[in-house]
Amino acid sequence: MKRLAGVVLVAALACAGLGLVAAAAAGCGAQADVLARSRGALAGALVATDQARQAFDAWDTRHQHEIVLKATSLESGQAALVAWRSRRQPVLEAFIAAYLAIGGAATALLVAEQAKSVSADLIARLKAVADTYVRLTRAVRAVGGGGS
Amino acid sequence: MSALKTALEVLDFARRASSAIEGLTADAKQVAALVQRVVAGTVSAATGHVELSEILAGSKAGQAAVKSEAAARDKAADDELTERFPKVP
Repeated sequence: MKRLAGVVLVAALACAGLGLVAAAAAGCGAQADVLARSRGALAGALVATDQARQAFDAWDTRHQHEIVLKATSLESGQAALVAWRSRRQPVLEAFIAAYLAIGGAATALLVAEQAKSVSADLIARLKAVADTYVRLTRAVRAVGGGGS
Repeated sequence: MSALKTALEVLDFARRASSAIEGLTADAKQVAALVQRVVAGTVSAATGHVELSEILAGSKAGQAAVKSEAAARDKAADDELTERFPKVP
């Protein structure tokens, strides 16, 4: 199941990425196609980030509940919760960074659509979205027990 | 060239994400489920049209939700802990 998810993820993102390359290679007439694909990629990024956040939230709730159940005193429980929240912080920051990147890319796309031209700023903003997913993946993996 | 670089970045992300999934331990099944939901969200969003204003609003709402919902979860856990170990007057 894990392998299947990985394959689907690679396939979905590979299609999106290769689509951009193909559109760019087609010449100036393909600008609109690149813009449309960029919009789709951003919409997907937002939905994916929302769903990932909701899943992480549910996981965090269960994890904190487990910490409370394992606590042997109020003080030890408080210390364990503080420690967990400190470990969790990079994940929250990565989610915020992802949302910021998506918002920045959407603004750049709005400008690009009005100009009917793919700008360097738009490309940089889209790259920033991809970068935040690398960070998010690492952060979630770090707290999930999969190593760094 | 820039578009190609972006595409390569996306593909690199996909490779890294895939490696992360493969490397998960049995204790991190929730993370695997998380990634699966990311995949489902990405695929479902690709089929519909979304306005840029919706994306902008969604990104702002998401930022706020990260903080507010974490605070709510923390309070719930703190309350649960206090119920379990009530302070003796």
